[in-house]
Amino acid sequence: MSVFTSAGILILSMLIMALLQLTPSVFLLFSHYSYGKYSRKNTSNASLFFILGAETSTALIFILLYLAISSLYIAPAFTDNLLGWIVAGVMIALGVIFPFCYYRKGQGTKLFISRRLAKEFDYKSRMIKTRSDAFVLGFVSSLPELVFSLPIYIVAVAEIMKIGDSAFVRAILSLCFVLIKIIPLIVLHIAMNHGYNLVNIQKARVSNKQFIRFFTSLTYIIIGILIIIFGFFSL
Amino acid sequence: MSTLDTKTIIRELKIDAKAIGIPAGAAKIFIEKSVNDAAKTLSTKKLITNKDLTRAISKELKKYNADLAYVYKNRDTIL
Repeated sequence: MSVFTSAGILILSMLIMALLQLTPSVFLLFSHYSYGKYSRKNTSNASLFFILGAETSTALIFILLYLAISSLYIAPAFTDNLLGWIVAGVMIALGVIFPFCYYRKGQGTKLFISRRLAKEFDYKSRMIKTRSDAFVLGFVSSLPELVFSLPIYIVAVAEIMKIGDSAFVRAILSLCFVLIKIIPLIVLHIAMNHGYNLVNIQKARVSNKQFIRFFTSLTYIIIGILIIIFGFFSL
Repeated sequence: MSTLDTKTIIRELKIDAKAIGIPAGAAKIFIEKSVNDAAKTLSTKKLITNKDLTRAISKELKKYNADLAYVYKNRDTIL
């Protein structure tokens, strides 16, 4: 596999990470309630801690998988054949089920998580009082989405290992991948600071729902096919 | 079976109103009026579902502020 193919797969993985909706949804609710209860300054501070929490969980998962896959890297025969096929299969399966499972039927942007968990997130977003609460909510909010994001992490780690000859290049690429998760949150934070509210943002999310469904599904399938064609761990 | 807790609804609506930038004084007046009117409309019913309540309150709120009505109606469909 050439560096360009690996870079392409990495970019597609980053796109999926940026398009996943659970953390931005929780952040939107949290910011809304926070603006309704506290001053703009306090909300802004708490929002930054939420973003920091989301970033921390992303970085931790990435590092853990990096260590796990590094240990697998010493057995290329195993990883090339078995892990590659498993990951490709999972990616294609996710691509196929994504349009049907990620959003629930009906109006709005109801996600795949259980209604009990959704209510819990709504309640926690409403009840946040301190920065540490915001940090924890940010940290936890990305975990239920691991069903969809874990294969992406694995693919990204594998591609970063292949592209980066030097530790510096790997570090930069890893940083880019980890930071991509919080870009939607930063955009939402800036938008809400500049006068956009829950209504504007939710209407935009609803109108773009079908696009996200189609584009993310297609991206999953493309990554799966690329892995099948070019292999997962070509040393 | 539970009774209609208008105080909690009004308190939550005031938070929503502040978040979307409606002045507190105006919000207080029309939220209380909307919730009380909705409660009057529903008082004839023996059994009130959450859907009935949401529909009635958002219908009343829409007369004064469409954005707040949207937030109230769609609060469960964001996540």
